[in-house]
Amino acid sequence: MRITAICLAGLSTTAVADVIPVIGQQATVSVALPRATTEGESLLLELDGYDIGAISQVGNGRVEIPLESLTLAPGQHHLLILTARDNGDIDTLAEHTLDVFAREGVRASSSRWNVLLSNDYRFAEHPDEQYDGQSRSHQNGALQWAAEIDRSSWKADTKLDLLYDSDVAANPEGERWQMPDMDLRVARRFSHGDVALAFGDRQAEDSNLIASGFNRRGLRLEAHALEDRIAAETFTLHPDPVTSLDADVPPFDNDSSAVGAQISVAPMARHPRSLRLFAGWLDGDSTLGGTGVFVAEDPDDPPLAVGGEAWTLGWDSFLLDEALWIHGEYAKSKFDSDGIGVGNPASDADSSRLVLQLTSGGAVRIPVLDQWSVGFERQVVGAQFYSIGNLLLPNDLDLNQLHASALWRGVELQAQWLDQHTDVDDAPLTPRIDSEQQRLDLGFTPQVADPGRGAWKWLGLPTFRIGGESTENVQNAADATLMGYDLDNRQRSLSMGIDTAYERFSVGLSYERIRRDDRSRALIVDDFVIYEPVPDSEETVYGVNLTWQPHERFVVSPQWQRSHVRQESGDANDNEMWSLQLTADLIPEKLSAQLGWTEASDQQNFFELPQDVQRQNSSNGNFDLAYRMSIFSLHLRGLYGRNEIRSALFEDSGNEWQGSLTVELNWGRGQ
Amino acid sequence: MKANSLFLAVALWLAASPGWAALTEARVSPSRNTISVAQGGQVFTILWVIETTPVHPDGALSAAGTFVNAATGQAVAPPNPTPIGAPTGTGPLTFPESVTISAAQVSAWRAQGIRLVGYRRSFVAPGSPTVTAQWLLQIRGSGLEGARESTDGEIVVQRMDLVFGKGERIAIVERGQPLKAEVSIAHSGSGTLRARWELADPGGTSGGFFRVLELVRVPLVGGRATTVASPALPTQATGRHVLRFCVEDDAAQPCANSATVVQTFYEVTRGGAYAAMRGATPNNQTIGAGGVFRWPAVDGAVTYQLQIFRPTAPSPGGAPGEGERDPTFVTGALLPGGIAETTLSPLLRSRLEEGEAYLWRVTAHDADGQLIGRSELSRFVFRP
Repeated sequence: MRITAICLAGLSTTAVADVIPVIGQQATVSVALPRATTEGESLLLELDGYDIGAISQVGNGRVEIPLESLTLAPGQHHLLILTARDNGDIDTLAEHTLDVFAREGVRASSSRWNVLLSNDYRFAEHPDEQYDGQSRSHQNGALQWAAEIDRSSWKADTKLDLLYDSDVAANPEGERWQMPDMDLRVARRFSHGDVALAFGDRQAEDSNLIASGFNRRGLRLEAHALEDRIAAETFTLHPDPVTSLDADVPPFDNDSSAVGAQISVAPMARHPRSLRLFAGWLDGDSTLGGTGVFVAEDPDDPPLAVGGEAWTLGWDSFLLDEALWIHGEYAKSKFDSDGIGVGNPASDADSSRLVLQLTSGGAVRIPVLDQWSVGFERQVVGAQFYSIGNLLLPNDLDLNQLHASALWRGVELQAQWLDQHTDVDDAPLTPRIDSEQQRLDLGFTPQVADPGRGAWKWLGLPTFRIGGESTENVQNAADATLMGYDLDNRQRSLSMGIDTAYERFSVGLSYERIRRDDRSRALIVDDFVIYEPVPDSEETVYGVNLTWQPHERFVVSPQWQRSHVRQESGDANDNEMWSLQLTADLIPEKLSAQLGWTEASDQQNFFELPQDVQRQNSSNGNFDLAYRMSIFSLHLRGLYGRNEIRSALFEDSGNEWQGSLTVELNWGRGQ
Repeated sequence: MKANSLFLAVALWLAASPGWAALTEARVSPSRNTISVAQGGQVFTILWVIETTPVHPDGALSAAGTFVNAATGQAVAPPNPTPIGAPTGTGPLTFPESVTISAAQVSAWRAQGIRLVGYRRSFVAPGSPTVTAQWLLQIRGSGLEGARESTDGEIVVQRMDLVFGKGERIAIVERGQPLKAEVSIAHSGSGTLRARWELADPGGTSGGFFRVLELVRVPLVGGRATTVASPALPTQATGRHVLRFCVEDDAAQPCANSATVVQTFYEVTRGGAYAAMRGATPNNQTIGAGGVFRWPAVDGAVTYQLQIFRPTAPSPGGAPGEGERDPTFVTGALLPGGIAETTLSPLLRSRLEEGEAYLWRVTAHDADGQLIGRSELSRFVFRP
C-alpha cells in the first residue's frame, strides 16, 4: 500500500458487501459492523496489513474509514475487522475487499509531470582566459512525465525523464540532451495472466550467472500466467547503459545489441516458493562503454567489440517456512573476450553456483538468539566464462564461502570465511593464486528501557563497532617465471567505530588500521631485476562525521578524514580532507542558504630523498542563496576552487572562481 | 673465496674510477612498453644510454640484440643482427633504435604464455668490461582479457559501474530527498583500494570545482568484485551535480590526475520540503509489548505511516546492510499527524513474533498525501 497525493471530495459510500467498490473522488468508506463488541473486547481495523484504527471512526454500528487520510492505489485492498480480547486472542469479525477504481469502468487513470527550466548567468569569473569563448549564459532543463491508464482488460503506462544542458562538458558523450529513463508499456490481461509489450528501460532484479541487474534500454515482450507462477520475457536491448536521447529504441545494430529470453516456472501451485525453476539465454556484442561505466582499456588499442552468447539453468527453493534457501545454477558461455576478429576466436566455458542458507524467522528457531543466519556458497566460474549481462562477474575463480551472523540483546556478530583459487582449469600457462579471507565484526548497542528519556535523549544511543579482517594471497611459486612477478602477501585490518544519532544530531567516529605484509621474492633473471617486492606498509585512517541541527532551520555538517600510509622503506603518503557544510532555511519555503568549504591535501614523503617531498593542496567553496516565489526561484551562486602543487623542483598554483545568478522555473502537476 | 672477492672489489673500484677508461652502465629508455594482441605489429623507438668513465674515448658497440622471455631468460626469437653504437666517444652515449615487433610475433608469444619479453643488448669497448641493458615489452591480451591482467600483482580495476540507489545511471531527485550512489568494481590483483568520491556543485563542471566528499580505503582479496557505497549525497541545492569516483594512482594524486575514474551526474529539482527524520527510536533496541516508537515531528504532517519489515538475510559474502535493501513488509500503522510517538497496538503485536528482529521506519505525509519526511530503517527486537 502507498500513500500519495490525495484530493478527494464527494459522497460517502455505505457498504456491507464483501467487495466494496471505491470510485474516484470518494471521501469515506462506511462499513457496517456485524455485531457490537462485548465487554473485554476491543475493535481492530487492518487494511492491507496496516493498523488503521487510529484514523478511523467507529459509531452507530459502523466503521467510517476516511479516504482523505489514505490514497488507495487502484486495485483491490483487503480490509479486516477484528476483535482483540484481554487475553490477547484475536478474532475476525468481517473481511472486505475495497475495489478501487479511478472512475467508472477505469481502474486507474493518472498522469503527472514536472518541469524544471533554469537560466544561469555568470556575472563574474576568474581567471578570464579560462572562460574565453564560453557563453556567460547557460541553460538547464528537466522534464519528468508519467501517465497510467488501467481498464479491466488492458493497461498502459508510460514514463519519460528528459534532461537538457547547454554545457556539455560533463554530459555523457558530450550530448546536450539526455534521456535517463523512459518506458512505454502496454499490457493485455487474460483470465489466467497477462502479456505486455514494452519499449524503454528494463528494470529487473535478475541476479544469476549470466545477468545481474541487466537493466538496459530496448524492446521487451513479457508474459505472466497462473499468478506469476509462470513468467517469461524476451528482449532486444542495448548491451551497454545508454542515456542519450538519440539512442535507438529498440536497438537493431548488429554490433551493439543483446537479445535474450528467460523463463521461470513454479510447478507447485500450493507452495510456489518451494521450487522455482529458471532458464535464461543471452546473446550480444558490446563495445564496452556507456553512461556510468569505466572499462580499463589500452589507449593504443583500436575500438573493439566483444561478445558471445550465454545460457543458464537453475532453481530456487525456499523451504522450512522460508528458513532454508537453496539456489543451484549451471551456466555456459561461448564468448570472444579479446575482441571480435582479434586474437583468439570465441571460447567455451561454464560456471556453476550453489547457495545454501539457513536463517531465523522460519521454521528453524534458536530461542536464545534474536536473529541469526548461516550460509554457504560455492561458485566456480570458468576462465573464459563471460556474459554480456554480467560483466562484473569475476572469472577463472573457484570459490567457497561460509557466512554466519547472530544478534543477541544488542550484541551483533558477523563472521565470514572465504577460500578461493584461480586457474580453475589447471591450465599450464595460467598462474594459480590461492586466496583466503577471514572477517569478524562485532557490534554492540546498549539496551535501555526507554531511549527517549533521560540522558539518552540528549546523547543518543551509541552503537560500538569493532572488526578485523585477514586476507592472504599466494601465487604458486613456479608461476613467477610465467607472469614475471611473485605474489605472496597478507593484509590485516582492524576497524573500530562509534555511531550515535538523535533528533538533532548524529556523530560517527571511525578508525581503521590496515597492515600489509609482502613476502614475495624478487625475480632476478640474468642479473636483471624483473620484479621487486612491494615494501610492507601500514595505513591508518581516521574519520569524524557530525551532523548537528541547532535549530530546526539550521544544519551544520563538519567532516574530517585522514589517511597515513607508512612503508617499511620509510616512504609515506598522507591524505587529509575536512569540510564544513551549512544549510539554513532563513525564511521557511522562501529564503534558504547553503554554504560549504572543503580542504584536501595529499603529500608524498620519500625517506631516501626527503627533499623530493611532493604536496598537493586543494580548497573548494560553494555558496547558494535561494529565494523562492511560487513556481520561480532565484539563486545567487558562487564557486571557488584552488589547487596548489609543491615540490623541490616544481611549484604551481592556481585558483578559479565564478559568481552567477540563476532564474529557475519549476512546475509540476499530477499525482 | 676471499681472494676472489677482493679481486672483484678491486676490479669494480678500478672500473668505477675516473682514471680508468671503461663502460660503466647501460640502460634503455623507456625501460618498458606494452603491446596488445589487438594492436598487432608495431615499431618502438627506444634509446640506449651508455655511461662511461670520463677518460673513456672508445665509444661503445653492440653487434646484435636478443629477444628473451624476461621471466626465464630463454631466447624467444632469433637475434636481431643490426649493430648499433659508435667506435669513439665518451659517455653518456645515446643510440636510438627502432625495434619492429610483428603481429605474428605478438600472437605467438601470447600463445606460448609469454607475458614479458626482454630485448637485450650488450655493449663492448676495447679494454672495457661489457655492459648490458634490457628493454621490457609487456604482452597484453586485448578487450576484457587484457583488462584483467595485472603486471605486478597489485590491484587492477577492470570495470566500474556507477549507479544511483535504484540502479539509475543518471538520477533526478527532489530537493532534500536522500540520495546515495554505489560503484561496483571488478578487479584483479590484491591490496588496498584507495579511492575517493568527488562532487561538483551546480554550475561547476570545470575540474577545479570538484570537492572531495570522502576518502575510501577498502582491503581487497584478489580477483573479486566489490561494491563501494557513496556517502549521503547533497540534495539541498537545485541543479546539476556531477559525481565522480576515482581510484588514486600510486602518487596519491587527486581525481583529476587519475586514469581510473567513472563519472555521472544527478539533477535536483525543487519539489516540496522534505525532512530527514533523524534519531527515531527504537534503534538497535529490544522492546516489549508496550514498546514505544518515537520520531521527530514534521511540520505539516497530516499522516504518519509506520512500517515494520522483516530483514532479508544477507547472502554469503553480501555487503553489510544488504538485509535492509529488500526487506519484507510485515505490518504497519497509519497514524494522525498530531503525534510523534505510538505504542505497539494489539494488532501490531499480533503480527510480530517473539524474539525476532525487525526493521522499521516512519514516513510523514502532508494533506495531499505527498511524502514530506522519512526516517532511516532502524532495527528492533520484539520480546514481549
